[in-house]
Amino acid sequence: MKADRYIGIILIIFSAFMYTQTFKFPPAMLGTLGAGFFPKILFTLLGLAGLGLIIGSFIQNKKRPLEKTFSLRVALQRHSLVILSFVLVFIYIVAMHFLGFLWATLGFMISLMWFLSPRKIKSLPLIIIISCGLTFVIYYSFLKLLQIFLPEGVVF
Amino acid sequence: MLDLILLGLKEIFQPYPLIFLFFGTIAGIVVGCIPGFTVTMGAALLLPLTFGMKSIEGLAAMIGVLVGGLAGGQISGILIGIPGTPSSVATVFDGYPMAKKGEAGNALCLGVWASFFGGIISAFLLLFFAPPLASMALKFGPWEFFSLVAFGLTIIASLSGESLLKGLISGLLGLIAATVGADPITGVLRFDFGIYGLSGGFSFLPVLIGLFAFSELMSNLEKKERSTEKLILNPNLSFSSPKMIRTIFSQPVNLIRSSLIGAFIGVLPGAGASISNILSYDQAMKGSKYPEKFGTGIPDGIIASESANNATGGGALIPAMALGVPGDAVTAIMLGALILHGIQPGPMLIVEFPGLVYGVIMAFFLAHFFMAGVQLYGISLFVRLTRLPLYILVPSIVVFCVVGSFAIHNRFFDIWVLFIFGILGYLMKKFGFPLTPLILGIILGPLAEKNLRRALQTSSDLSLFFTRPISLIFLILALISILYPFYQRYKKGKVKQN
Repeated sequence: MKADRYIGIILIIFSAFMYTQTFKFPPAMLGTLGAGFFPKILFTLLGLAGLGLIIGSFIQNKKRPLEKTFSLRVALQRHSLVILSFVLVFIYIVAMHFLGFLWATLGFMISLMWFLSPRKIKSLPLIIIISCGLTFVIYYSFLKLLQIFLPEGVVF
Repeated sequence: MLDLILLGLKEIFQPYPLIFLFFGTIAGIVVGCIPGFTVTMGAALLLPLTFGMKSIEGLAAMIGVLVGGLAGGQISGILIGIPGTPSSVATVFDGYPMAKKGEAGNALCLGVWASFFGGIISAFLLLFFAPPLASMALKFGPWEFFSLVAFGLTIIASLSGESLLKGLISGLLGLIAATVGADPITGVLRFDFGIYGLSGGFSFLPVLIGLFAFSELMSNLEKKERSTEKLILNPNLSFSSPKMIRTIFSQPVNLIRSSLIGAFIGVLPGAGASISNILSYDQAMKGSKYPEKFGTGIPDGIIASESANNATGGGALIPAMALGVPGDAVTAIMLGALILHGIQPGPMLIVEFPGLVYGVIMAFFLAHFFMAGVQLYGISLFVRLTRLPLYILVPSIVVFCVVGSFAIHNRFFDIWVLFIFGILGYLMKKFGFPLTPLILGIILGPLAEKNLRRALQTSSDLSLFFTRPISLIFLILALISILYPFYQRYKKGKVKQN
């Protein structure tokens, strides 16, 4: 797979960078192995595994030609709902920082359910009922029953 | 032994542990019966809730999810022909044809009782084999511990699926993620990059929920609409329990063989219920006088598959409880729950917390009674659940993921960890990297590092790993565990060539 080659390169760069970070740890005391000992082994192995992935992709390439017809547009289309959901979750987390759990969750639930539902207008009443119900149930059960505080916003 | 069993019963027969076990079982059946949702995901979502409970209560809830989930997968398998979890794949082969013949209720009832008896057989194995294994492990020094952990890590080889290298990379990423934060021996801060949240390391919980629940949810969205074409409309849900139990007992060899296969596969690290149900179905077919009837809707297939998958649960608990080595993702999460309660899993567990260990074993027994009761009385309700639309489920569960990640330490940073590991998990799955090795790496990483460094600091003589007999046994097992998947692939290749 062509993707394996890129992942291999990313892994090698990542391991090399992280390996250099281990030099910042204080040196080992007499008779002890320093804090960098174990991570160094891991990053070396990860780098080698990344190299293995690259070599493997070339061997596979010989056996079976690379898939040529990769189209970003098709991939984006196929994963549009997934990408949209990730973006909405990102916005949700940022919004929670400002609006707090209650309002951000309400907004997030209604908007994601709306985007995912096939019959949008027809499902709207159900979406609103479930979103409001579930948000308030979670909020109050955590706050009152379990006495666990949920994120409070800067604004509210 | 009897006094320890009584101690376990005393732990579990209290109002709260019983309530949590009961609701855990229901939750397990729910995640089990919804196609696309796995038992692992259910356990991951439950984990944050266990934090507010006592350790036995939390573990009881987890056991409930495990038992309920292993058995619940058959519901959608039999009714829609889509297994709710990979552990019920073989149940579909005969369960779905049986339902199409108008015997959906009986097929489900048969599955429930087969799960019940399979689980109970493995519970006895758990009761008799876990304690001696743990007492043997008490003589361990750092060398044995490191070799044990190394053996645990080689599970990665059998968890890797298609590519061993990708499994290894996933495991290494887990080990690396575990090194972030304070060094376990010197306390030096590692890889925090000046970010306050990173100085405490990655919390196990948001990582787990991100990898297993969040990424799984996103994968579900690729399919847009769950297929309901094959749904049997208005299935005949009437059943007769005594008749089905008689059917099971008319095939004692099938039941015992399948349960033993299930339990044995469960003990093997890395191999889980997704393998055992197919393997025992295959064995049942090979050992049958009428193999040609398999796949046409005969009880034998359902008995083999369902008794094996629940037996795997008991088998997986043996190394988890005795040695602290998780056999699969769900037991890994269970050990994670112990860690959250400040209890270090390992051979000392049974000595330090005998009530807890025997309580878990007794909970495993009891959960099967709950599972059978809940499924038989609530079948029509669970049937409705298998039809819940994704657009309602996904956003609701995302919110649970967020709450779960935050609640444990009240750290906003953990929500970001959830998000990032969710994306990582999704991408890893897309590119064929298995996720369980990563979790294994995070759990076993600190143990591996601590014991390796301790062993090397005590004596720089590396040969001690090989000359101490128990350590050597684990290293040999590790080697076998690495080589076995290669042997399997070689054999598969040969069969294909023929």
